[in-house]
Amino acid sequence: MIWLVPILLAVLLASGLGLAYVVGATAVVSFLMTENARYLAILPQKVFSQISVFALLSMPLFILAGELMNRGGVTKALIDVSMAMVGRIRGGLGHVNIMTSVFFAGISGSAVADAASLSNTLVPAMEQRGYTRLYAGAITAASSIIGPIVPPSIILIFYGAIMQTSVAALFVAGILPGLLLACALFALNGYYAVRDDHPRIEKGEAPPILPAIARALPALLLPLIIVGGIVLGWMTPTEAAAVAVIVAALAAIFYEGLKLEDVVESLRRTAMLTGSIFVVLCAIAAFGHLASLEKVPQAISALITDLGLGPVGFMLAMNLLFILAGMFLDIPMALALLVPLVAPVALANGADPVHLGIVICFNLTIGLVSPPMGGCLLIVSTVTGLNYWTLARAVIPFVLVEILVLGVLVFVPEISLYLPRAFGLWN
Amino acid sequence: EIKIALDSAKDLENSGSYVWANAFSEYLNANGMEAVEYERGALGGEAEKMDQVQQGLLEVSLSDTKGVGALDGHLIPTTLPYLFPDWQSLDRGLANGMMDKINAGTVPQGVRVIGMAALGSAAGIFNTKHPVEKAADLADLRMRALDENQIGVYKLWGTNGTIVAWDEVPNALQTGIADGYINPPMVPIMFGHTGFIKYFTNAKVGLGSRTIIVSEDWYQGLSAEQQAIVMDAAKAATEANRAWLATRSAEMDKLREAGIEVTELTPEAWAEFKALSAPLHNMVPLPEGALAAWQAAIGE
Amino acid sequence: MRAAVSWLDRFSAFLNRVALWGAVLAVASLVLIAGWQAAARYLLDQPPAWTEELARYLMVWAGLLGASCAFRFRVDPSLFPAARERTDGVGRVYAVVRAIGAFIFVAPILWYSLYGLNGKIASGYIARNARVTAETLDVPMSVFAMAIPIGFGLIMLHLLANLSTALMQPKET
Ligand code: NA
Ligand code: NA
Repeated sequence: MIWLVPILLAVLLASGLGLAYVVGATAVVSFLMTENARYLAILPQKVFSQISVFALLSMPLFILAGELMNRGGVTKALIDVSMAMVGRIRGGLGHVNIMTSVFFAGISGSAVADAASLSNTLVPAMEQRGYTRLYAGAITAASSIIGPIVPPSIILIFYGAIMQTSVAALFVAGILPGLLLACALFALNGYYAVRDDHPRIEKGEAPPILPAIARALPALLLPLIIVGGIVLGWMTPTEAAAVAVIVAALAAIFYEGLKLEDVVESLRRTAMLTGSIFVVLCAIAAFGHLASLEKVPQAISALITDLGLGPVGFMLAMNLLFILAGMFLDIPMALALLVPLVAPVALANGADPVHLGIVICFNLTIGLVSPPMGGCLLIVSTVTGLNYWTLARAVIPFVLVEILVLGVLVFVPEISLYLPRAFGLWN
Repeated sequence: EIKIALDSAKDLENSGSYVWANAFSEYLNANGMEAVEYERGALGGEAEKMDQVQQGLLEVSLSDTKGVGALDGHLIPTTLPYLFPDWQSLDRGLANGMMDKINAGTVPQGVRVIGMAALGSAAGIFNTKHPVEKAADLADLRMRALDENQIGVYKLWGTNGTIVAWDEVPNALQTGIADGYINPPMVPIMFGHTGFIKYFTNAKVGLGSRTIIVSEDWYQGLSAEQQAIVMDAAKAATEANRAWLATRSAEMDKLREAGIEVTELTPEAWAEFKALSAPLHNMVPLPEGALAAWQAAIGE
Repeated sequence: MRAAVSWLDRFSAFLNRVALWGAVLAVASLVLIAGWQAAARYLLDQPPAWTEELARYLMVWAGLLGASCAFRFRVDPSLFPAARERTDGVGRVYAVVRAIGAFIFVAPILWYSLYGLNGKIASGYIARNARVTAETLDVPMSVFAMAIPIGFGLIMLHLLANLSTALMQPKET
């Protein structure tokens, strides 16, 4: 009877039912098929325990901070600073696009928020100055994934909660890999700028640097407050998230004023996004309990150990698995489903939990810019009107560079671990 | 199949609760009752394990003593500082009627208490800053508290507590949000805090324990003979645990090996800590007469 | 029949508005409480013990109410979101399949919130939590545990309303 389960899964997926409900229904049916029906009585408590987790508290808060920034004109101030800094180089607006994502990343924990707000603002600006819309869209999508790698990061919060690893250490560990990714994208954009003779911004068109910095100061200070506050021990990551919300609201008031309806709309979107993620967690938890009862994790680690891949082979296999998962699954879903199964084996193979977190996070974000389920591609194509598949093809060179950076991060753990160790956040 | 939900790694050297669980399951298996151990966290956190025991979906759990105490408050005094001088006195109390008193409260809620496991030597005071030889030395330390009771203890000792969730404790200690905590000696070693915890004071604050509960629904479904096997297994497990406890004198050496400076208290300093903590016993909400019942059962 | 369906849909829409406001309030309180916790560490001699627990439970309420709204607005991530927009015959089949799928997941959660394994309300999840007090707050845990049956109960209502609306829709010509 267990063969019914994959068929059910396929039918439910095709109907357009939300992934969380597909997984939840499949889990319940699996309980019935494996004669574990009475254990369904654990579901209410399982659901409650799964989401009343302290480490998850910062997630809705950072989502809210990003929402408030998006509505308050903070993005425009960040673009101005980037223009002043790198706009005059050949291919200037491409660099501006990447640079803005770096600044944006320091405040927002989400790649999708970055992609949405830059497709709205920078893509038209790039088109006006002689870039193709396709190139502008591609670089916007590709650089949006800096968002969840540079702290704060919703993905890393999530990973920390699942693995019970210090979120502060994970945040600080993401800084250098995020900057490395930005450098790699700068290089590729520079190459295209020479090859395709991309324009630079005319003298006088770039805003003067000091006023631009002054104006963006509140937005630029926010990441310093968040990361500095955590590193210096002024506050816990959760408290930093609450402070980020308050500062984001103040910054938004400072720029364009924040209307009450904007605040309410931000709260609504935060609640619904949090809720969507929570249902995913609940559904996965049901599966997890069944797997525990049937001792599935033990079987999987025995299987992987029997394959005898060795540490390097295991790392490569794991990354392949996560890249595939990132292409097809929602990131929280991929994390909740795979991390509890794979991470213990990785740790047993000598992996460091913080390094592993950065690798997995980086890896899954690549899925955001790869078809078929590329969240950021979808946003950019929706906002700019570019065909999804055309855009996906145009992003390929960027994705290859990102996979290259991932490889460097996998084999040079020090890039991730240097800062957390230097700040005494990790041994 | 009898499912036993563990609370720690399967470490017979360092984990007292696993010593208990291991002896228990071996006894059951040797006497024809099949017992299976489930790794820490496999069947969920504390609240989930309790929920499953209450419903008869989990047979045996090594649970948080405070969590079981939420079902019946007669268990709570075992978690208070400076109330029990040692495990012998606590065992005496349990045998002299306190176990029955606790079960009178928990059994109607589907939970039967069959024993308590010692986690190791008594808890002491850890910190990152300087040695602590008397209560006054704590004044400049901000101590991590896990609940309101601990905040109360710190207040009585003349210092301040700050609540930090366990997940954020390493970060809090490294960054100075908190400077120390109260825990059994092996905790910093087991949780990898030795990089920043530098000082331990063997203040013998209280007994670290786990409470072993079984599902009442399941227990009532057993034959009288099987029930007797379960109770004998619990007895054997408790004996194994106390025998293990007697070997724990080396814990201070392990702390020293891990680079932690150990301070032993003078009898006067210890008596001062005990006297300062006494008011807490009347501040914590307990069932009517619970403290007096314990004192009578211990024979003080 | 049509009137009943339209009433059900309006009822679901009304409760959805209430839930959305509840979620908004919960998130807003979450921000204030977490912010207060950061400030109180420095402003107060003895910071409050209840902030952490209350914030966690507010997050549960916010999340489950938010989840019900996301379900009603059909914004949960899906592999084939276009299938949700079809209104032809195939679309109706899809609507039935979706309703069955969500029902299978939600029904046991709702059932066991109310009833224990022995079929008694007194041993159900909510009743069990009513007998336990929260760690730092002087209220029974059922106040927070209630978020589960209410959140999933709303989802159940929305799925019935969605289904009946989809089935009653006039055929596209
Ligand atoms: Na970020
Ligand atoms: Na960008």
